[in-house]
Amino acid sequence: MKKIFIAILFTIFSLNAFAQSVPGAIYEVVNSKRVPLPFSQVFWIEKGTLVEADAEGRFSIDLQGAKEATLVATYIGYNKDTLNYTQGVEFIEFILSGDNTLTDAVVVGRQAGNYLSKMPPVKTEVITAAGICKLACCNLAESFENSASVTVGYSDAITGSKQIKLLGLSGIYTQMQDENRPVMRGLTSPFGLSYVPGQWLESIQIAKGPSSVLNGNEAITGQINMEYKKPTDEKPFFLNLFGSSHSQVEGNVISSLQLNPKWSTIILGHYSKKLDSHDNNKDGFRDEPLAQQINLANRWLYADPNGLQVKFGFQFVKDDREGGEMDYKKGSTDSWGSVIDNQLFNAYTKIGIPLDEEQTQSLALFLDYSDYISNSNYWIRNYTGAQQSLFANFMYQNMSSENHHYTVGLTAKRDTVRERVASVSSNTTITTINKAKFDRLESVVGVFGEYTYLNGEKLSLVTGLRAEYSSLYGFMIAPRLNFKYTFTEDLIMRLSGGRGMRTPSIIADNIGILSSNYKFNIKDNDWGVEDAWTVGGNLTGYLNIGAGENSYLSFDYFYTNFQNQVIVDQDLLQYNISIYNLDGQAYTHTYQLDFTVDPIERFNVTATLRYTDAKVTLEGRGLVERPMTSKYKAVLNLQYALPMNKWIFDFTAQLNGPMKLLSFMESPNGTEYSPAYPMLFAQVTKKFRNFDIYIGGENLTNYTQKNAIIKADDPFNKGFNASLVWGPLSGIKVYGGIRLTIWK
Amino acid sequence: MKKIFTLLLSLLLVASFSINANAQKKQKASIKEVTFVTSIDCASCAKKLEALLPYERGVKDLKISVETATVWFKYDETKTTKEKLAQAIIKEGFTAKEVVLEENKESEKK
Repeated sequence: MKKIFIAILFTIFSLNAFAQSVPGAIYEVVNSKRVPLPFSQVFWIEKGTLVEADAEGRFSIDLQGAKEATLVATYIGYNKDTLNYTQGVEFIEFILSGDNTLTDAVVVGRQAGNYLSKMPPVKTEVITAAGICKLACCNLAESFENSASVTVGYSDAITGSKQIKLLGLSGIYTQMQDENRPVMRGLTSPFGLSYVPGQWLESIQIAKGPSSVLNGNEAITGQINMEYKKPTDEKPFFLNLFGSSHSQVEGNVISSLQLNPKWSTIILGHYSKKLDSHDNNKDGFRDEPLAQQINLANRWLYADPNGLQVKFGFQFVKDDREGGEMDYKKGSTDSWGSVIDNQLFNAYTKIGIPLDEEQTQSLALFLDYSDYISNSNYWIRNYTGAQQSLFANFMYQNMSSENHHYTVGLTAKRDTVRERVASVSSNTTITTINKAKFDRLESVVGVFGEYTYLNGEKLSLVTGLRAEYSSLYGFMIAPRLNFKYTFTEDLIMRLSGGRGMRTPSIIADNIGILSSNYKFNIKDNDWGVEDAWTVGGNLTGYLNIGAGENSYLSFDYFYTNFQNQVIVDQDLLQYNISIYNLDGQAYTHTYQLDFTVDPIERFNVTATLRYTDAKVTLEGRGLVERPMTSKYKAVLNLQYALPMNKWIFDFTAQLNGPMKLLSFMESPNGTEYSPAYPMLFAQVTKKFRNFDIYIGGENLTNYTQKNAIIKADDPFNKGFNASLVWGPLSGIKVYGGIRLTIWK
Repeated sequence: MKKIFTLLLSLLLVASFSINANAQKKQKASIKEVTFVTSIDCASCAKKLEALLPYERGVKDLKISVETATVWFKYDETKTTKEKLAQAIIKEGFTAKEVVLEENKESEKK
């Protein structure tokens, strides 16, 4: 990880002590020749002045006759270089060398919890480890609570599984990535978010819009990329223990070990258990299921100084849940209960091979295998989901030209998926539970390419195309375009558009529907690939107000239009869950305003407002408002820290907007909409030399959705339905935890 | 709901003003500042220092910049010295050389 020391060259042409502006240049050495680094920067530490080099890497800095000066030259992707200027030097020369450690996100100072990254062509909202730690966030789903872009909700009132929404659409339309490797595909998507413990993560990046095609064509509403803690972290031991008033306990152990300069590994362990069930709303049902999760992962990194990198890793998850009536006993059908047993195994490898010394050309290969099985019971309904997936991506990247970068590649994947629903008991009085079978074997091969035009920091244009042939759907072509224009350093515009396609998994995509006694009314035999176009843009203005450097006001607009979607409709036929292909229009418009400022040092205020207008064509009703989609969400986050973060105080307030309810649902306010409701979160963290202690509370207003389970008093009725959730199910929760870090 | 937000906003303003007023109170004469140019060159190195340096005796505030490879301290002269602070950085495997900042705060803000 550590530095290659670079030669610093002072060229003294003559002794002219009175020159005020000193010229200089910044180079790198390629094949023993000097190549200028255009638009690189020189920073005069004592004065805090910054000058930028021109297109030829030349600069001139006014040293105001100083006798001595400490100058630092920086260029993105290169090791910075410091030199000490003394009066008399006539020409300042820096020679920088490429940085092999670009993979590290460079964020320092007092780390902001959430911020907007200035660099990438796609607007990227970053939630850092500090942001993840703002909330108890036992897992990935919960770490989005203080982002308005992402809405978190329960998929049903039984299983405790949480789902996210981005741009007003289900999280299944967001491509989840683990360090740019697609994960949570197919059946693993409904529970996948709970299989990423928050404490394992270094940061999360949320990019709205279709963004890049390099890792698949599945992103419709956006991409969420997770950066895990790294094998190279100098933390041989990290321990986190957590407990909450909802009888939930959790432990995380992480160990990063550097075996030698080339090899390093990280071992991640997680165990969580819900010890006891509560029924605070007195409907006879557990507010949250009893649950136990064991999650183990091991990741390896081999990094050769010549640039060769090999990464590989494994993960194993076992998740058991038991929900339903308070008196439910596993295996019994005398009361309504649900047992879920999920197992996931994943192995991957990623190889990066530089083709030249400067690493401007490289080959990258990744292979991913996952095996998932879900066995579950929902009273007398049994669901089995099984999936084996292989994914391969091979690409060649060329960044040798300063203005033109391109990547081309080949891809292949194979998914064997089995989804079965059946009745476990034939002699029950209820006849609505029917059999359903959704099996598929899909093989895909494809090619992709992405071309980037860069004009310094002024402009960038990324165009991509992915053409795939699927054994189920034939040829599929996904074009993408991302454009960024910097009007001034403080005003940035981004535009994005493209097509995304994903293979639906009928039950898993709508896992909540299993928590009901409704009959499945399967109206189609063939399911088209879900296909949508998204276009949108963003304007971000960085403001020179407050005490920090990162005050901004940002506006987003995105439009998603579905060509085909699988529609799950509970309103078509009474006591039926009707499933059919979209016939007509389905679209969403999403508008979002973000504002952040540090009114004084170490005090951050972030306010966000999102408004969504979602419409869908439902059989017999035409184009109507998409049910169960919240119209707006407002989030206010306040963070105050004492110097050096020794104490951190966090407060988050949410206002969750109303959702259009289904015709048979009753709203507490007597309308067709659920009421808007607030949620408050607060947390205090105290840091010590090697450990942190935190305590906090969630849902401090103690707001819950009343009667979240329809016919909870008569669970064997055909009208029993726990799949329609619009609000929080469990009330106020208090928690506390410690994080212990031992540094190398 | 609107009320709650208005209330929160006003609370916030009041809080920020009072904290501001506090911050402007005179500082003790023994509080000094120093900046070191170091050999930190990666975000994770900075994080390590960020986690450990606050707990060195006498350290009152700290800012680390990977961009300029600098570590800025506010410290209590009666409890520590520049040399001890430099040692604390060196102990973690980095170099540390003091630089004199002419307009400390303003340049930090830039």
